[in-house]
Amino acid sequence: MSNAHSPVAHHFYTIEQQKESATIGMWLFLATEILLFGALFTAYAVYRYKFPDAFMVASSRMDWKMGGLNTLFLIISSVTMVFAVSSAEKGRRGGLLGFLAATGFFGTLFLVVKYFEYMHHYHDHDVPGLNFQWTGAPELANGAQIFFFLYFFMTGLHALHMVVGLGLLIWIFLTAYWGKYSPEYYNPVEMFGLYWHFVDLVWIFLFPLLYLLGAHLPPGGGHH
Amino acid sequence: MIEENVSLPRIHYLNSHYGWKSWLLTTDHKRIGLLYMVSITLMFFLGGFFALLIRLELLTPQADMFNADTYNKFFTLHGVILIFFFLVPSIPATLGNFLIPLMIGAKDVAFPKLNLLSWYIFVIGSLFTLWVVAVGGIDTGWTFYTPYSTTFANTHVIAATLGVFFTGFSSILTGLNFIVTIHKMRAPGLTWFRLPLFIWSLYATSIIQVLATPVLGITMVLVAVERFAKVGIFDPALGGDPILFQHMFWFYSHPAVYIMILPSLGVVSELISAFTWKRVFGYKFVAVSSLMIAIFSFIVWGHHMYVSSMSIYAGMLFSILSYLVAVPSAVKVFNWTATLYKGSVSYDTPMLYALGFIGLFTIGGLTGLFLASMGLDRHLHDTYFVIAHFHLIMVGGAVMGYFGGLHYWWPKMFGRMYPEWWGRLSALIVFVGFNLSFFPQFIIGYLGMPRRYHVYAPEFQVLNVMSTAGSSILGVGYLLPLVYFIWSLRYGKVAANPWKAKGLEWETASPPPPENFLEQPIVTEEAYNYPTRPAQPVKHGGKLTGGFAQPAGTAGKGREAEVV
Amino acid sequence: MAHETTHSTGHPANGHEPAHHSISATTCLLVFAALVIGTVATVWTASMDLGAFNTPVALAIAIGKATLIILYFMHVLYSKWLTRTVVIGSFFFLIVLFGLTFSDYLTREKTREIPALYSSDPLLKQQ
Repeated sequence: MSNAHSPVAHHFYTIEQQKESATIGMWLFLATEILLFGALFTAYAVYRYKFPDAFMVASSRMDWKMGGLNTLFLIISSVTMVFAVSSAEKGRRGGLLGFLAATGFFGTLFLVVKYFEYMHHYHDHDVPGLNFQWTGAPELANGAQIFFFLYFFMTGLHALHMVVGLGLLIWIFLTAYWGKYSPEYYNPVEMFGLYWHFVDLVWIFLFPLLYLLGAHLPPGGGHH
Repeated sequence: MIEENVSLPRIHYLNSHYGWKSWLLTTDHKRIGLLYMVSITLMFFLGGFFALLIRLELLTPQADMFNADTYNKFFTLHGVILIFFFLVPSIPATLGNFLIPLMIGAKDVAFPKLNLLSWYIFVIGSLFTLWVVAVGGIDTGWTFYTPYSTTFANTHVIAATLGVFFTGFSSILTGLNFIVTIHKMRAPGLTWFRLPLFIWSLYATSIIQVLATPVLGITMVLVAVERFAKVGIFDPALGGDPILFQHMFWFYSHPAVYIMILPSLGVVSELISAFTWKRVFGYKFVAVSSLMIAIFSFIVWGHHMYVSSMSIYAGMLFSILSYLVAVPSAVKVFNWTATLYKGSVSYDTPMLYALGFIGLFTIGGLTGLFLASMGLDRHLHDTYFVIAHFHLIMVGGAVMGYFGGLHYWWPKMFGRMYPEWWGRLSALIVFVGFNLSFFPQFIIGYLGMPRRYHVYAPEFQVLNVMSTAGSSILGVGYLLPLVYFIWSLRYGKVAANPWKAKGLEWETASPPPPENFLEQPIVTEEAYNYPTRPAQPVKHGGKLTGGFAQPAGTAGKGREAEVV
Repeated sequence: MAHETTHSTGHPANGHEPAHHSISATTCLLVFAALVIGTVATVWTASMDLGAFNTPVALAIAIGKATLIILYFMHVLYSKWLTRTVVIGSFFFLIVLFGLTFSDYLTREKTREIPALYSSDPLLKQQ
């Protein structure tokens, strides 16, 4: 509906009004995301309270180095995203494109590492509902299965957000390439930045809660 | 109702564009409101149809028409359809969509395309549910309690949960849109405490929609995954905890009750003001009480779980917290009553619904207090007492408010009046039918008849027959408006503001132009600024009305002054 | 036309901050360094067995990192109160979900066998 010459949509009066609306809208969307992931974190907390030992032992089957590497990738991609937004604000198209590409690169690296992790778990028969087999202490089997389910569900949902984010990133990149953004109008870049940082933020909680519970135990919790 | 001599505007939102594309691809909030209205009306009558089948079976103590399995499917579909596909979207998505921009003097909601998207998502969710109806139903109850839903049910649980997931997503987008709209799109001069109370209540509703619905969404996905993949998250045989499902489910579904009732509370505030010709008494308290209800609604969910084997200490906590909600709800009822006092009350159809609402909402709320007390709930849990209680809130409250609002704003939406005599008749039929349906259920529930059974002890039959009779009367009361509303679209008397009501939405033409207001309105006065007590005596046709020293009866004079 | 006059001038009126507010490159890199240090600290503390403090320490570091991201990368430090209210509100209701759910789980074991203790029914007393 927006006028071809003006970035202000027909039902807004000023670009400020439009921008503020977008910002609040985005934050409200992120609020729903906080509650969405929050419900899963609550489920995690309940089961961890119920099965503390199983969670610790199952978690020691995680490769914390992969998780740590991915944490770094996401943090770097967040930083490049900050620079992308500030390039857009200053009207530096080249900088914007470069930093967006860097963000996409590190986001993709994250997914590549995640893919290898998932494959590894698949070969280890760690996937509930698919091929889960618990070779450790039998009294830990139920808790471990729930741990691995939560692991796959939460990181899977997170990875889905990453995939959606990369899709949006491609769109932002193309529109930036076509010269749609200017210091007056770079709303979509900024809103995408908020989304990207949020996805990073979820991972910051996922990493210690899923990968590091049993880091002081030997791999496999000594049952292998 | 006041006779008017007006004609329809030449161009309005209904005739500005033609063709199915102009509807299915519209971003006009008024047209999207109508799209929602058509969709939820279909769902309303489908869900109502299942209600009638339930009541028919309960006419006798034995199983006559349906076996237990069929009956289980009927009450499940009745609940799922009417809660998720009618009550939750009812007032916000139809009246809210239509009226929020008009009431705040904006051209549209903040995100018009998102608004259309949310309707499409709602349709996708509805299609899932209709598919479930077509292929054999679901029998878990609308609550999808685990482990029955995840492990034992042989019906179409996954499709039904996905339907709920989608409609929840639609609800989130609507709420998000409304919050931003109310914050950022208000006309100049329209400060927060000048907003109509309907806007306040929809704002509070939207907060719940945005914050609670995601939890339901992810819970529904977990149920589907558990059922599909047997991962143990809600299965006690695999170490899972079904009570966790209940916590997560009710974290949404209790606040959802307020998604259903809060908009109605807002509608009733509008109606009470318009038909007493007065500003709502204690405006600020009524406004803030909506927010209080929204916030309290998040901390009381455990009162659904007293007998679930939840810890009794948590039960005590939830019991105490549940009583909190009574305070802001009572504030509203008291303030409406105070508004009626010495108002110039006119008993048009919307007002009949509003008055019915106040009575039924009060009784429904008070019986809610019985159920919030942990001890009494052990006796009443899962009996017809609960059924009667929440139908008083949801049907006697939410649906009455929706119907009242529909009648009140019908001339605004279509520029034509429904036949007033038929309107009053149907309001009366609805009230009588409703009470006959649900009051007996308080008694049979208290006497111990459990919900969700198709057979019952013979001593409950008289009361069940009364209830069934009432529900068929109620059905007639709901069909009548369907007929005369459709009739009025063509034959109704042309009307612009037959109530002479105040509010920005009445400042523009009926039906409104596509851009709502021909020029940006500027607000300079409070909401409901009815001319009750003019500062100076006003002369009208040589008659002196109003004035300082005329405490009683001035309101009525004010109305005359306006009309003359 | 309060909206138009307030905003179209482009000046921060009525105490509103200007909408353009990105952080400087130095701040950004400092936050980046803090986040990396936080990640290393998470791994390092996890490799030790701190007993009951394992999770609180890990969570404290994670909350610190998240706060940095929200305040600096997501501009909440420079944003209006409305945005801050949305952020605070969503975490508040998350804590409500968390807290009241745990009001059940943390006290569940303490629930006594009520029928056996208080019922006069001999059948229930046997249980």
